[in-house]
Amino acid sequence: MRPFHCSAALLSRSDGSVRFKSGSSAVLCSVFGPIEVKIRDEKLDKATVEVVFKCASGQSTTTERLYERIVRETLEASILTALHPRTLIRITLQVLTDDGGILSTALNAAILALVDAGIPLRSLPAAVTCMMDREGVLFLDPTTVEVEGSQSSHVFVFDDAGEGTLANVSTGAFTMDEYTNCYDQCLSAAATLQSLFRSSIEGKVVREYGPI
Amino acid sequence: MASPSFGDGGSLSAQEVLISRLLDKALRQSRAVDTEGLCIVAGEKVWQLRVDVRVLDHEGNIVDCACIAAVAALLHFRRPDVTVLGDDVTVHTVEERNPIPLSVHHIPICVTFAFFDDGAKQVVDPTLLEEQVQEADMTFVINKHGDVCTLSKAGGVAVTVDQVIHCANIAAAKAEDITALVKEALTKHAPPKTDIV
Repeated sequence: MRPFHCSAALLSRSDGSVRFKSGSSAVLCSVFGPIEVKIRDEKLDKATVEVVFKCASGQSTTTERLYERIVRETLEASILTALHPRTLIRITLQVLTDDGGILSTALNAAILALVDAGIPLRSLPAAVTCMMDREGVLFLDPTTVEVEGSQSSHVFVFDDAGEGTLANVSTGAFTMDEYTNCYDQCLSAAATLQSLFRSSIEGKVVREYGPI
Repeated sequence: MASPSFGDGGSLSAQEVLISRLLDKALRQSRAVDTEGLCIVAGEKVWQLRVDVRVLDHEGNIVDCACIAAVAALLHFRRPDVTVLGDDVTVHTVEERNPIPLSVHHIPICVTFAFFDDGAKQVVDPTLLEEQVQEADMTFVINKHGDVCTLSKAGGVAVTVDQVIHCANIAAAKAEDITALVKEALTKHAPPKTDIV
């Protein structure tokens, strides 16, 4: 996996903000919530989750709409929306640089930004991308150049609460064995990510409030 | 992303529309970029230039900030080199030939003032709190030579002519400083000249 880096609390107006960098892919996420919701989007028993995904340059296409939907549905399952009924949680993702694996980078940025904003989550999810190339070699967290030679690519989101996946987007041609292999590799990679997230969040809390 | 009051970009609010229009006047209508230089084959092929501005954080005076960002991006930008032989047009890749910068006539800078005390006092580059209690605002789009491209004062409390001239002088000085800062930053981050192998 490529080395990743995250910096939190960058934006002064946002409730939570994180810049997540995985190799050369970087995404800035800003979270506002719980804030006022438009009457037509209001849900009586839960918070409404809204995701806006902006690519680095150019107009938004259907790909950005697809990513918005994936991020929204994944995070809606993680956020304890019942604790904030009739409110809005707005997650804005801005791609700074795209060097492959942008969906998982964006998901990780969103997760950490939600923690930075203090939005209650069911568990701490983590997203990983992997791909299989034409020779059957598995690449974890591939770059744009590596993705060009891919036969299939898989994005998994795992949480540390239960078994099973929170989200899975697999495209391309792959066998059942290849899929199981990708699943296992991504599961262990996600566990590493989660422990690194935790230590970085703990570090931030200790810096702000003193030792736990 | 900039502030909780800005929506997701579905329909622009009145403030957002005003900012967009001001930026359009500053960048496009001021004819800062030489558009004739973007022509490849007259009447047939031309380069299209697109500037995307994303506001990350709103701590006041988005217009000035966005203008500096857009201007710096235009000066930093390099377009692919093109060879035209009769009807044959070849667009060279970045690896084949060094990309070339845009030809820029002048560098327009936005300088915004906020007025208080029934128009008696003014502040340059208002912060968020100053913007929210201002009685009027005025934006100059001016370059370092002192040429005013746009003067926008849309409503608000009345301001005397002497004040407008006074603000124009301040704006000209600020434009010089900001242009120097932008140029310095660009030289520091200039893309290295790669030699053709």
